Amino acid sequence: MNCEFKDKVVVITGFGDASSREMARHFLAADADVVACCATENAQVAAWELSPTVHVVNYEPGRDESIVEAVAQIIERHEKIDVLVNNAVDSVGRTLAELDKRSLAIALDLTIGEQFGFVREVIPHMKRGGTGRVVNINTMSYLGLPGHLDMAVCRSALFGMNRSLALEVAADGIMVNMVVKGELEEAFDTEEARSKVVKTIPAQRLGQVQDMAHAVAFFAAESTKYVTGQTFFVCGGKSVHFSMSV
Amino acid sequence: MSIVDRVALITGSASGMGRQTALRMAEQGAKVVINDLDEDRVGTTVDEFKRAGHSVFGVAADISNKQAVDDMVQQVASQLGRIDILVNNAGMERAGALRKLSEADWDITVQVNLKGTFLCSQAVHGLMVEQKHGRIINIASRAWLGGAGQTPYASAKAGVVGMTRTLALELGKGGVTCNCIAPGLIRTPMWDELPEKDQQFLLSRMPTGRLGEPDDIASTVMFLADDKAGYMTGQVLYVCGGRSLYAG
Repeated sequence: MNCEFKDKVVVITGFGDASSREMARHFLAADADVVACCATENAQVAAWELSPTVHVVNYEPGRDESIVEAVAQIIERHEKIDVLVNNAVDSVGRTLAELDKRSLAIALDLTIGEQFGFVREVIPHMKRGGTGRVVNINTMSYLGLPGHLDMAVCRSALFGMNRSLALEVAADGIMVNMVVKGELEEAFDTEEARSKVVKTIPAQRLGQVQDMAHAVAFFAAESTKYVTGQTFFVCGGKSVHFSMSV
Repeated sequence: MSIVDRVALITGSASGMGRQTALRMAEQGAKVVINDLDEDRVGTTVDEFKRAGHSVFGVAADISNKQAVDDMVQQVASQLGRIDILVNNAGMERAGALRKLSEADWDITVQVNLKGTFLCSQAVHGLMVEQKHGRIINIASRAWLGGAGQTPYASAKAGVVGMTRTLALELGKGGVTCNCIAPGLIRTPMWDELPEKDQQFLLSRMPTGRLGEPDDIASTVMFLADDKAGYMTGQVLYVCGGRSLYAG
């Protein structure tokens, strides 16, 4: 990590999981002003523990106005946003039999609805500055996984949003890309679960949160100015088995 | 940037994107190997790099010739002891409508772009597996998605994408990654030779409304070559200003 992020305002939404904490650590080390958008008390504590310089902003999942207020607070303090890391954390997946229209609508609201909300509020500020980077974080469930019907629906929507938004704002100097999180060490509690999953990964190991942070930093950099609308997997090669990964 | 003291062999690096990639890597402390078909061009580039104080070694070799590639890799290994990064950058294009293309057009395009990538990867991978560390970065092209008048080139580059994904699976457990960059329009001597109206037409179809620079490719290669990129493999990253998304 170089100091390419000095004085850049980096906003991380859905803050709290180990990946987002590591991303924040990386950006802080590169002299960025980091804003952690937190939806839970635990996330707030995690942000405060990271560094007293992190600007903690709260929002309420599923309540649109709270995202509007959160972005307004960020602009009030920093006057600009250079990077939006639109983080995603999968909930427990559900099958067709476990879902109805209402529960699917709620899942959409809490996932793509939230990521759309942040993008809608942040993009006008990036346009005003004539530059910006959006890094949408996705999970491999969008490729389709048994028992994860709701997450596949919600995360596929992000895939489409990523590409369309990239085309809409490319001429404004805003690059929009998606980093897909593969199987990371943080997600597994037991050795048995780990070894079962490792067998499915070409690299024959689980990823680390640092792997995600390295990729996110690349797409967030001002120097990454000719890459947009792309999907990049940090997955030890597992995506190669999926036809939608090219 | 964690490529300090890494040995990087970049094919076709006496000019254009390859040269810029070699330069950026050298500036970050890598030991770079310049390769080109033309010995004079290798010599000139090596001299320029040396004058700038960079660690550099040069080998002229035809990458579509197995013996020449094996000799090149052996020379680098005996001089520098290892090869950590291979950038399969050398390429060329013979364009034209299907009815106008000759067998020779097809052969040379496939030999340089596809066979060259295969031969270099094959010659180097043994060292990388032994070292338990390696980065193979193939320069394909957005054109692998298909482009009128580009049958041999698009076919060869599609082959490079398939090779990338296959090598990622084969070499993944040994600490060797294999990724692919698919550049779109980049400012090169070939671009400069285009009539202005053609340039304007092509730019009008670019979502970003601008042309890429060799440095856009160099910085992407650096990202994938980094020690920290060990969990990224089998990927195809388009550096094309969004042109791969849509042709408006």
